Amino acid sequence: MLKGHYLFAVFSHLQSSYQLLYLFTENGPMTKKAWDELKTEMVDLKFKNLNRLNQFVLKMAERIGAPQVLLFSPREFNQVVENIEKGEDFLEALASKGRPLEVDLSTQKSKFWDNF
Amino acid sequence: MDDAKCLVDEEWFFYFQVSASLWKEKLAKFKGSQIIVPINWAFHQVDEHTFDFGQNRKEANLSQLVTLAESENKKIIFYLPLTPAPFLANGGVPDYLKSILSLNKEGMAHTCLDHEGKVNKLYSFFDQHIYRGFSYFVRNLGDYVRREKINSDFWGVNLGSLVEGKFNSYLEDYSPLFHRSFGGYIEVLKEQDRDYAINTPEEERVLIDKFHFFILDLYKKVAREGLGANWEGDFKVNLLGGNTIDFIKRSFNTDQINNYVDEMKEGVFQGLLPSTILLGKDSKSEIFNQQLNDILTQNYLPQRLNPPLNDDRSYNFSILSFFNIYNSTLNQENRWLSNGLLGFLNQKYKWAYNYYFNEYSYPDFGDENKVNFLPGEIIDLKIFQNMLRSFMEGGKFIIEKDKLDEEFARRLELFILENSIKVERLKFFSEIQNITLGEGRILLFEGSIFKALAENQKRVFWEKITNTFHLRHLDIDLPEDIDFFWSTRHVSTGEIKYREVRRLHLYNTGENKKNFKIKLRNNVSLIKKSNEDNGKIKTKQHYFEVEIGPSGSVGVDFGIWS
Repeated sequence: MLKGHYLFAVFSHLQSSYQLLYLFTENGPMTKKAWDELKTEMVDLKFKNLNRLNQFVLKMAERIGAPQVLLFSPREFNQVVENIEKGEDFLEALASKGRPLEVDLSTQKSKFWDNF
Repeated sequence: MDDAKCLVDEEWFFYFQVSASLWKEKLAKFKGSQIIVPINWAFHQVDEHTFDFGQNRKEANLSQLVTLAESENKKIIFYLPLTPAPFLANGGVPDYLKSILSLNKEGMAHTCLDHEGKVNKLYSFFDQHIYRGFSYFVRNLGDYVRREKINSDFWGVNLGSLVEGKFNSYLEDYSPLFHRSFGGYIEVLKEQDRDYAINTPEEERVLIDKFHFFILDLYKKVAREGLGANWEGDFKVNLLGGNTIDFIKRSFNTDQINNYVDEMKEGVFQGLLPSTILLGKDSKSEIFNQQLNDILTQNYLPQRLNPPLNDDRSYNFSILSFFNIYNSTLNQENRWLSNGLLGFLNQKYKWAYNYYFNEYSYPDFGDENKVNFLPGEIIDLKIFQNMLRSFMEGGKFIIEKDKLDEEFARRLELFILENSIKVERLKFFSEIQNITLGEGRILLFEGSIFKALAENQKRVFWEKITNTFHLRHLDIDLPEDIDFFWSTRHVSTGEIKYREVRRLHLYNTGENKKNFKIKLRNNVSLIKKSNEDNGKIKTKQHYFEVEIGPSGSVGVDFGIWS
């Protein structure tokens, strides 16, 4: 089970759909098995629009109890990496540069997430 | 000076990080007789037109490094990166040439943490300025090597990491620069053939692979020409901890060092050269270092860098492998997974088979004792000829014939008729043709049958087929946290009753003591315990008992009867 304070999501926009590429917290990414299951369940983690992707990521944040969600396009993620200075904390750099989403942790949780 | 910068535990020496006045002292600390030295292009490039090979800084004097190593009875082996090198700042590219970041398929920058935790960004090798700069550098390096009469071997290294079990080179890039170059490549193909067109995403993927390979070949070619007689060849190095997921895990200190053991072994069995140089010395556990030493330093590296000559059959151990499994890049579906072969081998022959992705290179099937699995569609004229030559010398092949080119199927029939070769035809789930000539075998089967088979039927199929090769392998059922691998060697004059000697290496990566039994079988005898480090072996009549404490390891030698 993925746990953390921050949930980071990297997505791409290709051929009129949005695909979730990476999902990780400050405690690391999901196990490969959980990620593969999630991809199968959610049809390659492709979404019709950014709103649906946001909703999905928010549900995940609710499920794992992460109060902070930050979204990145690959370009935004690359900019963080490119500008990171020697000795700078990567977590701080990511947390300060991503696009935040509002999380409501009081939302009812569904059973679907139990596997993750 | 920190010893970690010398990477003594993996026989790598970063000369550019150590004061030349300390070289001799540091070189003496290496346990092995050969030391790997990666060339740092950026370190030698003073500006666009000037190189330093010791004229300004003693640390750039490679000739002096070789002389000092020789005085310590060590041999220097140079690795020349043919791709971005993530253990060097900017991937090894000189400052004045860094321009466009190299991106992975998903558009994420290729970024790695080095062994000191520094973030190294990689730049696109599709940049023609980088290519020109590299060509100029290797010409100058070659001139220097000849002028100084340096005799050391230079190996070109294609650096990469495993992504979902497959080697991804750091040269692979999907930056805008790559897409522009790829567009140019397609234009050239269209100029050569007006009707040329890419019709499917699959065709595009294959062409992109070919283009990456083509560009890598350009870097290889200039390196080979520049270094002349010192050039030994090239190979792939998979850097553990070097993919994007690893970068995320390592950035947050959440990687598990023991997870890299399987990746190291996967690399070995894919014919790659795994390396832990991105991982900090402190992050490697004692048991990980033990496995690293046993597998890489003692067995695999010497086997790859100094393969024994045919008349020089030493009694050194090398990694045991019964099978070579070849794959096709034309088909993304892994047939050996879906037809149950890999599942079966992972149960019965785990860490005892090689697995290759076909990357436009030709296997020569040099080892007649191994069984080669080939998908029909990878067989072209050169592979066909190599296969028949090997078959006549005792080579063994299992071929999925569904997509075997009709021309080669016809040639094979003709070859059988002309040479009056014995062919058995039988029905066992599939129509099977078993062609034998002395020790040589070619077995053809239909891949299409597997769609209708249940998993247990697939297992029965592969069990029966592999049993016909009489491989005499021990079944081992190990508890959780026990890692293992096998090695093998020729018999000495005192062991003439055996065909070969095999060593089983066992490691406890867990925190608790483990006890288990291993059954012996007919034609296999236990010869001796080769090591007991926080572990014990008790021999019984038909089995032996193993007890290994946390971080302990044991080794057992078996004689395989003739």
